[in-house]
Amino acid sequence: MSETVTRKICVLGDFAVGKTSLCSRFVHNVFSERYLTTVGVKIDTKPVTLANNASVKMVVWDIAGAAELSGPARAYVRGSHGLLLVCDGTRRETLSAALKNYDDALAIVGSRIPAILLINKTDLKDHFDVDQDRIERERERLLAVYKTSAKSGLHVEEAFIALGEALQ
Amino acid sequence: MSNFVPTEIRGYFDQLLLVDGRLAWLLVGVDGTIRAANGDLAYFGVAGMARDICELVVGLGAEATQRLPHMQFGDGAVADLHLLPSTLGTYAILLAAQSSHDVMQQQQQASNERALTNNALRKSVQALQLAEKNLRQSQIELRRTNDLKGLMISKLSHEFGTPIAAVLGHLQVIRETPDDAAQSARSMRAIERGVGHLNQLVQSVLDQARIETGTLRLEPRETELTQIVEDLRALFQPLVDERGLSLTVKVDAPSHVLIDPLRLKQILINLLSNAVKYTERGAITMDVVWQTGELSATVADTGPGMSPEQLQGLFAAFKRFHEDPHSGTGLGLLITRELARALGGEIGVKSALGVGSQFTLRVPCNAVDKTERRDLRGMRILVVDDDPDLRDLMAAMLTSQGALVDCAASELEASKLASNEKYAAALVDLELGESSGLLLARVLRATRRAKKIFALSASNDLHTQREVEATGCDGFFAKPIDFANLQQALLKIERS
Repeated sequence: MSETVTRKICVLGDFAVGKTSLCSRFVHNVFSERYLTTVGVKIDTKPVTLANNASVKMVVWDIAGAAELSGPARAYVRGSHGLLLVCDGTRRETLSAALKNYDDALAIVGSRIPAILLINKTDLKDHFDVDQDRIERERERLLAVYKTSAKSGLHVEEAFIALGEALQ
Repeated sequence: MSNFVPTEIRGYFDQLLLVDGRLAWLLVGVDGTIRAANGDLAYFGVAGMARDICELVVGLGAEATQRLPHMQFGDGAVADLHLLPSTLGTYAILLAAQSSHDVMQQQQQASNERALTNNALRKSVQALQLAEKNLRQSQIELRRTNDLKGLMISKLSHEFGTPIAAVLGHLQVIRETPDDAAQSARSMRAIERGVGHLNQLVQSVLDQARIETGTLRLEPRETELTQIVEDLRALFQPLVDERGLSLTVKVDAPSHVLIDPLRLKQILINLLSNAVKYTERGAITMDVVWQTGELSATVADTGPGMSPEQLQGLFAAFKRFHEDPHSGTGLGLLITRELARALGGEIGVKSALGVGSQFTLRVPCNAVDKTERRDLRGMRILVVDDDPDLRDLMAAMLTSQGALVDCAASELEASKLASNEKYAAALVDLELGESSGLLLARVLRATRRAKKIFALSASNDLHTQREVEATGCDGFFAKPIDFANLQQALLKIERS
């Protein structure tokens, strides 16, 4: 059996877009309706087995949400192998925030690390307000784009695993 | 600090930080391995994540002292992580920070929730503003439509009044001069024209209502196209002659096609009427062509033509009526276009000021082989209608085609006749005074005394049609009855 590799994944985006909920769904398979803002960073690990049976230990850094990376958050991002950029499908402005976080993170890491965009809260589809044109324009520099729901679990595991596949 | 902090205080902090488990540290060597560790690592949730801490330290590349606040490893307590480079490697020191984390979280939570509430509020206000704008627009539209409908009603009153006055006047002439055959014949023609015009007006208003409510019914059937074209020529030739114009009709199509003849005729009559109405001199042509499943009919005139601006509002409801109170109801072209669309086609317009206009109807339409025409000879038909005039009219029309007709005025009378005779078809009026045509249709269906049952009614609304369908009738004919249509339905029985 091949050796398990460890990969640091940073989850970035504006506040209240569902980053912590996505991480909880992925790591513990739980979801809470209660919004509890993250201060600082919360680090969890989850070992995953990929399609080719390779083992990756994903160290997930759930970083406090903001429209851009500033203060200690800039230090948390250093050494990242991959990024999950999260926006709230019901708040149009959070897409720009996720992409600004992406640009900031790339500048800090210093290399073009893989990133996946998650358009979260698809369970609130009736209230969706997403700039689809912008997403299409950004798609080229992203590894993938997923519409997710931390509440139902839709595409959450797939998104994390897809990033793991790119980082093995 | 060490100069003025007494040993007792130092001892107290040593106890607090080291022994009570609120501090833990790891020494991470330059090769990324743990050289030493102490304190309550489990308290901070890093007991099983020591290796992750090493990778974190290496990843962060601490070359100078760093403080990373509010870090939480797994379910451990929140810590501030201090990275302290030394000659042996880097010390990763975890200091409890739960209380400051909780205070900050409370503040941040309140701030974020405020921002979310403001955001939701802003969206609600925007939605309200949009709803208000739409409401205002709807009110304007409603007022405009009401104004136009009011004008239309006033116009219709006039439109109806003229032929009604003519019909009443000529009836009086016939009554007062019963012996003047020539005058009676003239009056009869005038009455026919007046009633025809009234019928056209009523149909226009009804068609518009049906289009608006989506209840327009199409009845495609085998249609003798050449006959329709000839009828139109015969209808318009006198008008064209009267105005000193010329009318050329060309047909390059199969004699029979599958289409709703009533609606096709209605469209072409409207286009030709407009051409005649607006052309002062010159020619009107109608070109009918069928090609691979599409029928096209082009009506061209040498009238005044229209500017691009006029063309733009050409099909708007009441448009012309609104602009020109001396014109018709203004529904004609709108109905024509909607009928064309109902047939699956469209109307195209080309026009140039001072040159003329050209309207082209294009509809999908299949050609059919000409089938042998037959009459209703020998077919036994029961006609049930409480209106003696309509009953006699139907009987006369059917008898002229060779049918054997029995008439009844009520459900009881019809039931009696049906108990002694079996009919190929029963034509049942739904409104039979005190008795019910629907009930009679059900009885005839249950007792199988009529092979086919056709319902007749002056109401052609969706409710009536559904009632008829539920009763199990084989067809429905709205009054005034199109006898050609009725005949074709009856001929199908004969064939089957």
